[in-house]
This record gives sequence, structure tokens and C-alpha cells, in this order.
Amino acid sequence: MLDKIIKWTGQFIVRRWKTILVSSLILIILSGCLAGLLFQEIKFSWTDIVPKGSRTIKEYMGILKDFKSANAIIITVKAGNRLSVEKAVKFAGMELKKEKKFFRNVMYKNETRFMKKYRMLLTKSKDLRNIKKNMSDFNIVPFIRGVNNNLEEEYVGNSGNMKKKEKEASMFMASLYDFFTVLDNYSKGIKDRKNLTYLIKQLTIGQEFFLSPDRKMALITVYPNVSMDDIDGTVKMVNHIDKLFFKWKKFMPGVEFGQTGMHTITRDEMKTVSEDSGIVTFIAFILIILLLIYAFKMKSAPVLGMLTLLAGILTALGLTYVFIGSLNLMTAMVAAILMGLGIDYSVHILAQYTEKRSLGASPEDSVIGAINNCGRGLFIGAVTTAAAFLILVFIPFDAMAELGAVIALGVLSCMTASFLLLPALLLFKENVLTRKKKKSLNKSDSVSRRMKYHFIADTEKKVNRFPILTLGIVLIFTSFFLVKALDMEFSGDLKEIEAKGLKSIELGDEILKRFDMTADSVMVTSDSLKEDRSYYKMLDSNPMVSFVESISSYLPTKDQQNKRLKIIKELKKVITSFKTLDSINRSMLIKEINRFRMNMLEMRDLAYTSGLTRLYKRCSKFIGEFGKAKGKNNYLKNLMSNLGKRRPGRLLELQKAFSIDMKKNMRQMMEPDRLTINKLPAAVKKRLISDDGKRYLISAYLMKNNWENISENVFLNNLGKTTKGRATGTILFMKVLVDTSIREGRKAVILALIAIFILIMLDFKNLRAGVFSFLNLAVSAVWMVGIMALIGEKLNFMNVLAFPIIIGIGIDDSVHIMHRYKRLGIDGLTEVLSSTGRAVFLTSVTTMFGFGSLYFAKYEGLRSFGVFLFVGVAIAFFMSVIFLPALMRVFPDIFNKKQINKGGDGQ
Amino acid sequence: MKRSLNVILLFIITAGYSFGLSAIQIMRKADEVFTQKTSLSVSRMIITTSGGGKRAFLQWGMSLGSRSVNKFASGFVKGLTMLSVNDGDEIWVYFASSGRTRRLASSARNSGVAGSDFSYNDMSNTKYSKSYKCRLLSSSGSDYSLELKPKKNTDTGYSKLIVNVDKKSFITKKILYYNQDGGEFKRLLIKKVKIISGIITPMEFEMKNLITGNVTEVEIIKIKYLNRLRRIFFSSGGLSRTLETWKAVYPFFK
Repeated sequence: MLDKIIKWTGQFIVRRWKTILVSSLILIILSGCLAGLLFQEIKFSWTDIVPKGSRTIKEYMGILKDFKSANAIIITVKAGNRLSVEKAVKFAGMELKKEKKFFRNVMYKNETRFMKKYRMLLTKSKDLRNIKKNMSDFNIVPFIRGVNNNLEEEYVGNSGNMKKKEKEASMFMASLYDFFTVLDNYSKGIKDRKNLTYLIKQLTIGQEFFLSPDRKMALITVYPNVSMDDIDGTVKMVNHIDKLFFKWKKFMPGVEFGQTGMHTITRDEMKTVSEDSGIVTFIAFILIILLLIYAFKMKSAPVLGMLTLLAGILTALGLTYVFIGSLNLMTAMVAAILMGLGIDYSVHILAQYTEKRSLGASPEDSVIGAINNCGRGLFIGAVTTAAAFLILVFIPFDAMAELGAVIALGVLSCMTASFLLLPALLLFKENVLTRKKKKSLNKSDSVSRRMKYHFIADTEKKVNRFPILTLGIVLIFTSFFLVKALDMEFSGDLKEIEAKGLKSIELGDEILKRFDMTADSVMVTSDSLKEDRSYYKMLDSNPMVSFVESISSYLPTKDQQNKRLKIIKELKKVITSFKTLDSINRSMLIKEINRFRMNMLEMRDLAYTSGLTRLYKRCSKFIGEFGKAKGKNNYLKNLMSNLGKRRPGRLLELQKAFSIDMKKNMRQMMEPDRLTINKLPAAVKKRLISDDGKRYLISAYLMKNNWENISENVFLNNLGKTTKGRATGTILFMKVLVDTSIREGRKAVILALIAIFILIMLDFKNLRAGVFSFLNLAVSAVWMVGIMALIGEKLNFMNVLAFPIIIGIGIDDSVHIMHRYKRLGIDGLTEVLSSTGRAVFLTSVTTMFGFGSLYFAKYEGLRSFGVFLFVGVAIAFFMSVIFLPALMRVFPDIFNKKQINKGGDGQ
Repeated sequence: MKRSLNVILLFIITAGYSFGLSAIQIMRKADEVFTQKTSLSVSRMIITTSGGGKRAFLQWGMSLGSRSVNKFASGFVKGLTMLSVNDGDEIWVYFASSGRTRRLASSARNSGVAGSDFSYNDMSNTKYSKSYKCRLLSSSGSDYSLELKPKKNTDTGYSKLIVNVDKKSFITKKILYYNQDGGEFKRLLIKKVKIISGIITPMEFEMKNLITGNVTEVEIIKIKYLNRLRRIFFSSGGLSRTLETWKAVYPFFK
């Protein structure tokens, strides 16, 4: 029946090629319009491909709706010293506030006014007692003594604490370094008032800006008006920020500005993808054209092939618009995937057509012969591939289901175009364009030989002299690659997909390095303050969490406030009664500085053994690093030696200024009233309380990105359990995506393989042929993944898309070879490989060129996708012309005599 | 008749040991296997962070009942010595760099030793059967799987442990630690065990922090069991004794 339809199709094309051309033209124009509409509906957000039923995505959408602060842009300001950074942050913050069109809110400094009043009330009772005990005498010697007591109790005496509070300890060390610098200056007679004021602010109110511990970078958080779904708006806004940077740099040449966050990353991704696709398409296009011209000895072959492919892809996109309505991050790759799959159908027709023409057949006979020869293979190959993809529609993962439907539509469209449009174009070319030239037909043997690739058959003959040996070797390698393939890791690491050198991603890494926290947070919402407190406590004590912001971090419980107010009252008494001394005991001063030196030595040892690099460096600033503690490197030893020589009277002025200002600042902080939610700064409430005032947001910034082995990440799994699935954020999206992709992807591959197997069996009606074709595909897939694992590639969202293509190509190659073999039998194996093998070779090389060119893409995901396919297609070809024929040689009677020669070799 | 009764009694006892051991009995036996004996040891600790950073320390150790002392024997912090008294109830550290000895806060018991993933508590001579309530989870295969929950008023730093004990030798093969929130926290694997002087000795073990991804491996390079050791080395005052003194008193360290 199928053979009859195929035969009729060939004759129909020869009779009605003009009608086909006109109808195709109308269809292409219509599809082009629909495709245009489709490209306006690309959803570039990760949220569009996360399964809709996922709690993570529901929570995230809820946060975006109820809290205006989610999805912020982080702006970084970097300079050589603190003063330049602070000046630039202040300026940039003010300028950004003017940009009301783009930004709803800009946060560039801490709530210093609020902190002045309430910092003491926000300090834990234990720390308040510590302040009372050790840090309430601001005369120089007692102050250093207090610092020493504090260090010994808090850090040296509790190394576990030191590890947990490395950032806090590093900041404290930086302030102490400032203190000793000021002390040194005053002892020299330099009245360093500016630095003294800064130091006192640091010790009392805390930092004004969001500075890194090395004080060379600061962060500004910008809350945009533009939603992530508004791609045009996002690009416009992010570009505008870049323009502002350019403008600011003109008068602040030593300052570097940068931006990151999901908006910026989206813009950067789009820019890189479009740049990449331009270069890559150009390389692929040139290589494929050259190959087709060389292979078919026809300058028009690539044009006709490409036109057919374009028609197929446009039709597929038009149908996608009708049936699905939009593209997402996964289906946006469909055009590239179809280029690889779709051109193959045209190459098969062209190969058969040119072969027939070289043997002297007329264009009409050649068209009929080509369709008869490879029509069934093409049809079965395409239907099998399409069916395998259509199975994905039943997977409860929208992104994958859509991908399956779109590729299935595409494969069928490209196959139909190759069946109908390409022969019609060939007849048009022969009958209209070249008629006038009346080129003589070259029937020489050499041309005819060149239209067959005998080297494929010759190589196969040599390799398969002992076919059982070939099968044995393939089996050994397959087992080896299977082990490697099963070990292959699925990476949800965005960095492994993103373009190398993407500034927004690199900046995220730099923030992590400098601030010990991720630029992106994990978010949890709560319905009550009680719940907020419990999540806050849980997250704050987690070793993976660097910093937590929640209402609870600004609002202690009533009980906590009562306890703290009591201690504050006592502290106030101590500070009020404090008096500045009018003398300084030099030997006591040197003794305490020496004790401080001892503490630094011990903290340096502990920091070194604990791997706390930042703290180690901070301590080393006072005493020198290991092996470099001599001479000028030993700051404290030099200071002690200098103080021994200088007049202590000079320090009295410092003692007076320091103690008066410290007392004044501390007293300001001793008058807090009871804190209620209404007294919190407006910006804090805006960030952390929902618009309707019923929900609270907790943002936890992590110590590391957690991308590695995301599926089995214990921290993220625990987080999911302890928050009852309420935690959300980019990292958790990726986890949901990876988990779903692994779970549903496995199901999809199994279902697709079952569908392919059933269809092959229905087509061949022969168990061995079905099993062998299927085996060829399975072995190719195992080798591809095994080799990729061997060269250190990991699976990711982009390169998993190579699987459907490999399944499509692998099964096509097997089916074509097997179909021709069915016609010619074991005696015609040389003909099968020289003729059909040639088409398979050409389709493989064009696909390898097409996808191999992706190796030059900056976008890491595309590069790995290209490498996967390059290797996969090469293996599928190798298996089809070596492994499959070896099976044929070992089991020559795959088909019975009735099945062989059915229909002959359609001339 | 008496002989028959003896045989039956012996059978019942043997059967009881082979088939019907309760969780607490299994844990007691496992505790007995790994009870720290009076010993001298040289070990290497390698800490690998999830970012790939590596730190390795050579340590000399002495163990005496519920007391143990460890001295860093190489590198920049050579001479840094830690003493654990009463299985970590008291922890003292001697800093060779400053020449001072300090007592750590009691809360340090649950924090990592020298930045590793082993807490002082993990390294101590804890008898799990005394500090935890035990429940047998499964006894299929070659291991017993036990769930251990801390007894009331016992601060172990963990909410639960899952311990795998070998059925034949009662060697603890694996411990999964759960943090106070009930989430998975750390995993201890005993990788290599050797019988030295008739005593089962874990020679290689690894603690993985499942949350941070950091791994601490300990390899015992050599160990010697003795009947007694000088008590002076196990006091805070004795921590400042140098590596040379250790060598002179115990040539084992040479």
C-alpha cells in the first residue's frame, strides 16, 4: 500500500510540478507570516519552562505579584580605595534615584538613621553584656584591653564561632586596623580627625554603605519597574544602565561600574545568542553549500536543498503558532534542530536524483526513480522520528511536551517539502532554467562512479573481513561507554551553559568572592510574624547561608526587647558614668598591644588551619603572613617599638577625642523606645512586607552557588523540607528543572524508543530487521554519551536536546540502509553502501558541519550541544556503515526471499 | 541430663547473639570495638573544600582513656596542640606561635577540629550506647542499620544518627548525622580497618559535610598500643612540650 502511494506520488509530481510550486509558494508566504507572529511570542524567562504545577514557581510568581522587591538588579561600584568607592556610590545612588521611569526604588546605603536609634535594641543580649563588660571604657588602654578580652572570649576561645562569623570578624579586624593606624598617626603628632570620625561611626552605627570586607567594592540594589517578561523593556532598561555607567566613568575614571541580576543576564544572553547564531550560521551555511556543490556536481543543489528546508521550517513554525502559540527557551532552538534534521531528507532525494541523472535517465524518470528508491525509507524514517517526539506530548512537563510537538511538526513538514517541493523544483530547474542551455548529458562511467561512494563499501569490506570480530569489538566498547554514560553528571550550573566571559555572570562570581554571598537570594514567604521568626532562625543558623534579611532581623520579639532594654539601661549607666582619663600608661599600653599581637598570632593560626583565607589575611596585616613576619611586615611590633620612643602625651588628644565621640554616639543609641512594625523604615517594609500587609518575605543570600550536583544537593533538599516547599529563587527553579528533566526525560526517552521500535517492526514486519535497526540506534547513543563523558562534558539543558536529534538521525540512517538492503539483499551490500551509504554520508557530513560550527559559539550551552551532535552524528554514520553491515554479514538472511527484491531497485 | 541442659543453654545464648540482638546490644558491641585504647599515633588529615581547595596536616597523637592530645607536626602551625579532656568536655589549645595555652568555650565541643568536619565531639571516645537511644531499623544484608536519638539533656549537636554496623565484626561502617533541624548533615565512612596488636583499628576514615560539600579524610600512618602513657602530656600544663620532647620520651615519633 505504502509503496503504491509512493509510486503514485512520484508520477503525480512529474505531472503536476507547476501546481505544486504555486501551492507551495502560497503556503510558504502564509507560514512566513505566522512564523513572524511566533517570533514575537518567544518567552525567554526560565519561569516559562519550569513545570507549572511546581510549588517553587507558584511561590515565585506569588512573590513577584505581592512584593515589589523581588528580582532586583545589583549594581557594583569598584575602586582602589574606600573613599573613592563611597563617593562613587553616593553619586550613583542619587543619579539612579532620578531614573523614576525605570526604577521603583534604589537602595544604596544602610538605614543609618534607624540604626542610630535602634542598633542596640537589635543587638543580642549576649553581645550587649559583652559590650557592657569589655567595650564600655573608651580610654585607650582599657579599650584595647576590652578588645583583647572580647577576642579571647569570642574568637580564640571559640574557634567554631570564628568560622561562622568570619565576615563579621574580618570587618571587626578592619576597624581595629583603622584604630591602630589612627593611634600611630596621633603618636606621630598627626591629628587624623577624618579617619577617627569614620572609625567611631564604624564601631557604633556600623557601615553606611554596603561595602565588601576589603572596602574596594560596594553594592547598590535597584528595584526595576520593568517585569522580567517584558523583554523589550528589559533590554531598554539594562542598556540604559550601561549608558549611565559610560557617562559616569567620564568624570570618575578610576571607578568601575557593573550590573548583574536576572534582567541583566537575560539581556546579555540574548545579545550573545544573536551574535553567536550569526557567526555560526554563516560558517555552517558556507560549509554545507560547498559540500553539496562538490557532492552533487550541481551549483543549484544547495540552493534547491536550502529552499526546500526553508519551506519545511517555515511551515513547521507556522503550524507551531497555530497549535501552540509561542516558543520558549527550549523550543526556540527548534529552527537549529530542524536545520540538522530537515536537510537530510533533501540530501537523500538529491543523491538518488543525481545518481539516476548521471546514468542518463531523464529528469522525470530520475524524480520517479529517486522517490521510489528512497521514498519509503524517508517516509518511515520521518514518521518514526515524528512519532517518537509526539510521545513527549503525554509527558507532564510542558516545556518538553511542547518541544516534542514542535519537532514532530517540523520533521513531518521538512519530509513533505522534500517529497513534493524539491522534485518540483528540480523539474522546474531542468525544464525551465536549463532548457535553453541544452547541456549535453554526461553519461560517462567516471561521472556515474562519482555519484556513488565506493570508498564506503570498500572500507566496510576491509573492516568487516571478520564481522564477528567487529561485533565483539563494538560490544566491548559499548560496555565501556555504557559505564561512562551511566556515570555522567547532569549539571544545572548556569555557568556551564552561559557564554564564557558573560560580564553579568562573572560579576556574580566576583560578588560571591568579595562578599561571601551570592548576588541572588533564596526566598521564603510566611503568613505570620511567628512563622517569619522561625524561618529566619533556621536560615540564619545554617552554615550555607551568608546573610538573611527578614522582618525578624529588624524586629526582635517583645520578650527579647524587654531583656535587651534592661541590659541597655545598665549599659547606659556604665557609659554615663564613664570619664575620660587625663593620662596614658605607656607600659600598660604596650603590654595590651603585645597581648593583642598574641591574639592575632593565635587567630592567624586558627584561621590558617580552618582555611579562613580572608581572616588569615586580616590578621596577617598586623603581624605579617607566615614566613614574612619580619621587618616592616610586622606592623604591631613596629608600632610597639615606635610608641616606646614617642611622647605618650600626644595620645592624650586622641584619647579625649575618641572617648568623647564614642560616649556621645553610644549614648544616642541608648534611648530606644520599644520597636514595633510601624517604626521600621519605609524601604524595609516595602521590601519585606507584601502590598496587602499579610505576608512577609525572607531573603537568604548563600555562601556559594550550589549549582554542582544540584539534584542531590543536601542543602537544597533540606531547605525544601524545612520550608514545606515554600522556598523559591533561581537556584530552586534550576533544581526543579533538573529534577523534572531527569525524571521526565528518562520516561520520554523510554517511551520514544518503544514507539520507534513498534513503528520499525510495523514497517519491516521482520523481528531481526527491527531489532538490528534499533540496536544500531542504541549503540550509537551509548557511544555518543560515553565519549562525551570521557572528554569531560556534562549533561545540561542545552545538550540534552541533542538526544532527540541523535535518535532521529540514528534511526534514519539505519532505516535507509536497511530498506535498500531489503531490496538488494546481501549480494547487493556493496551497492547499498556505495549508493545509499553516499546519501547517509552526505547527510551526516552536512549535519556535522551544521552543528559542528556551534563549536565556535561563545555560548557554552550551544557549544556543548554542537560537540555532542558532531560526535553523535559521526558515530551514527560509522555504526550504519560498519556495525549494521557486520550484523548483516553475520545474519545474511535477515529478510526472507519473498521480502528481498520486493519492487526491485526502483529505476 | 545436666549436659543436655548445658547444650540447650549454650544454643539459646548463641542463637540470642546471632539472631535476636537488640539495638542497644548491637550498639554496645560496636562501642566496644572502637573504644579508644591507650595509644600513640601519627596521622594525616586532609581537608578538601567543595571549591577544590586542599589543606593537609600531619599530626602526632596520644590517647589515654577519656583524654587525647594532638600536636601538629609540620607546616606553619607546627607545635599547635589540642587536648581533649573527658571526651571533649574540656578542650585546651596550646599555640606555639604565642606560647600561650587557652581553654576553649564549652560550645566549641560541637565545632570542627582545626577547621575540619570532625567536631571535638565526633573525635571523642563517646559511647553511643550511653548517650543515645537506639532503635534497630533493619538487619538485612551484611549490616545492622540503627537509628540513634540523643537521650534527654545530652548535647551531641545532632538530632539523630543512622549507624551501619557490620553484622559479623560489629565494626561501625557508616554514620549519617542529622542536624538539629532534622536535615542530613554529615556522613562518616570508615574506609579501612586493620587489626593491630589484636585490636580493630580504623586506619582510614572520611567525614563529608553534606551541606557544604567539604570532605575531611584521616589516614592513620602508624599507631602503637601501650599499657600506659605519662599523664603529664595530658594536662593543660604539659601541652607546651615540644615535638623534640615527644620524640625523646616516645621514640615511636622519630
